[in-house]
Amino acid sequence: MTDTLANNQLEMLRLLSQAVGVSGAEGDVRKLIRETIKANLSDLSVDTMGNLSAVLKGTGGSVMRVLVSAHMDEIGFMVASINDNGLINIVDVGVHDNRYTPTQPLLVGKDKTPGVFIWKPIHQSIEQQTIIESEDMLIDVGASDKGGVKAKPGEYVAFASRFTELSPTVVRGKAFDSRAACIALIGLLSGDPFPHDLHGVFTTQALIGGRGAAIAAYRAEPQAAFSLTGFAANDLPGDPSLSDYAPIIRLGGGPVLSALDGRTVGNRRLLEHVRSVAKAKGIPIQLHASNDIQQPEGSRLKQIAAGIPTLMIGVPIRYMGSPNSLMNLTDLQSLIDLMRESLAALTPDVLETHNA
Amino acid sequence: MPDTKTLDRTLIKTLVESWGPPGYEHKVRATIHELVKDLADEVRVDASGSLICRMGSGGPKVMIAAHMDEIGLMINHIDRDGYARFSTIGFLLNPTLYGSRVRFENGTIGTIGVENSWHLTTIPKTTDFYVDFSTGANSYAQVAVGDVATMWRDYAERGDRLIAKSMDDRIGCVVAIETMRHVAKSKPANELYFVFTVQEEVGIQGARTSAHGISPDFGIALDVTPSGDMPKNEKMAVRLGDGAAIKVRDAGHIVPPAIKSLMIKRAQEAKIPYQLEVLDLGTTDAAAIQTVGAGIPSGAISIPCRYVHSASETVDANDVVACIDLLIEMVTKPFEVS
Repeated sequence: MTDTLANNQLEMLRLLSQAVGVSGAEGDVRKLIRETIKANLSDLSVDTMGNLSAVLKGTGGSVMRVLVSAHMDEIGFMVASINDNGLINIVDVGVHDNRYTPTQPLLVGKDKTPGVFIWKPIHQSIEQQTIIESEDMLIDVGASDKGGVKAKPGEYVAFASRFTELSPTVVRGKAFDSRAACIALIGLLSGDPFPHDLHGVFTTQALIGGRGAAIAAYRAEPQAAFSLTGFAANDLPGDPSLSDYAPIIRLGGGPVLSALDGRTVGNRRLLEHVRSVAKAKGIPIQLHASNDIQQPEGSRLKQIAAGIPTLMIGVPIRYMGSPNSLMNLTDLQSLIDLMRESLAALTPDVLETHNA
Repeated sequence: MPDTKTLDRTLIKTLVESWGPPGYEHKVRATIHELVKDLADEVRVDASGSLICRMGSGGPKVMIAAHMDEIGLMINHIDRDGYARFSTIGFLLNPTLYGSRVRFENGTIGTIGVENSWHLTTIPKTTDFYVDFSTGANSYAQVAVGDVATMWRDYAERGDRLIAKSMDDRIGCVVAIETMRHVAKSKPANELYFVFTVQEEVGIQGARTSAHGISPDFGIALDVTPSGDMPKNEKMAVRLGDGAAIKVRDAGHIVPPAIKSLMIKRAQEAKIPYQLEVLDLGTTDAAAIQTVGAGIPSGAISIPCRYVHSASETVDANDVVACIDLLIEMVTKPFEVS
């Protein structure tokens, strides 16, 4: 095991984080990943929902099929209409916190035209105490009238965010919840094979209901699934909500296992399995046990067909969902290590069906 | 067929005092497995953890679902003074929590307290509650973040009124098991799948996946329904002691008229007391079964219950018997649905 991410993985993370792939339009991200893994994996396919699937054939030691998903999509916006004055109305794709969206730089439409969310000058808005609603948000692309706007209704809008290394271990950027998961899955698919077949699926539309994963899992019919993602860290120094009871997930505290997300209970047997592997290998882990929903993919996967035991596992992320979120590279490397060890040790008797 | 005197009270006590929050049904499942393994032709656990018991073969496939899970909570933080905070697994009613006790898998009993308890004027939020599992000065029971618990209260009887923390839905499991005992002595006209499902309380999840695996022709859920016979309650015609409640609709399910009519017909033929359930909130496993695959016509037999989702869920033994009788009629006779 290594402590830090390899240089080529870091460069890939930079490319993926800066790539645009709002839910339903993940093509750029898919292309980047496909180019990276196609040399080692012959069995690549894209399904009707746009998921990119790759199979790492097992050594034959196990007849199980295990699915590991990493979602490609990020939250963003969609052009709804263009005003005569050249300002653009949008609708949300995914859930946004509009306390920070005004004045954010954006990439608008197919051409990725630079733009920005409007905000009234302070002397006109100082009385404003409420959070602006998405229906009142407007994008300014510097056009003076409708004719100056290239984007058409239905085209996507993403945050523009430059990937930056803040320290040897901490990076800043956007979409780490999906793109770090993709890095981890690329890592798993690029390593030594496992006893069982590994169905790696880079999924679409995870953040608007786990839609891509649902279809991919129905096709793959796995006996177990892991959904890789990100979990909001709440370890801010001086945060008054960090009183005695706030559940704490820390940057640098290790991979996060989801025991409970919203009302989705992480599969008990898989959770026990990964926890015991982490303990045996000395990998620090953290538990997410919250009624706040981080990501709906795990909930979808577990209810596909006759049921798939599913565990969500991921990296802690500060300011998750914002274009300037922080992630610790050691957490990401630990996630890859923990997943590799957990998959290598996964046998059918781990599952509930064998423990009646 | 049992009457209120021969109704297996030991079975009821055993099941309602079993431990099984959503996703952690392994203990109650082991208890039920032991009780049913000699009754069924085939018993298996599916990928979600539901216990599937087949009785008979050939004829229409009927899935009977009773959920094993009960509402609970998961510890998400323990502070430096030893107090634990929790997330909910299933719909806990906050007005019922203060002073309640919870039980963990290892048997540890915790007490639910609430901040500012002497001065409450509104219903506290979930985050205002905590679990106290102190065992003495600076010592604590073995409880950790991620541990799960259920409400805890002993089973009690007051005449025909049966009171427990988890009538929802262990009394449905009782109805299923008592019916299985009867079916084991006869030859049913249908291929029966008695399914003890998981994770009903977090989104009718286990019934959905089990139904996909079994692919039955018809579904029947067994679950409690709130009753309308309490002071200043919402208008609802269901009363404790008035018989098996045949579901007409709830918030997630409109029962196909043919299924409802067959249940009424079977109840009338056998002179089983019944009432019609029109429920405005909640739903059951039948809602999940109904929309699986190409569609599975499904109904529900409900056990009227007061104080649902509290530690004192109360049912009437006469209703339990009526539900067993009606289910026996439904599963042993031809499933005449046009």
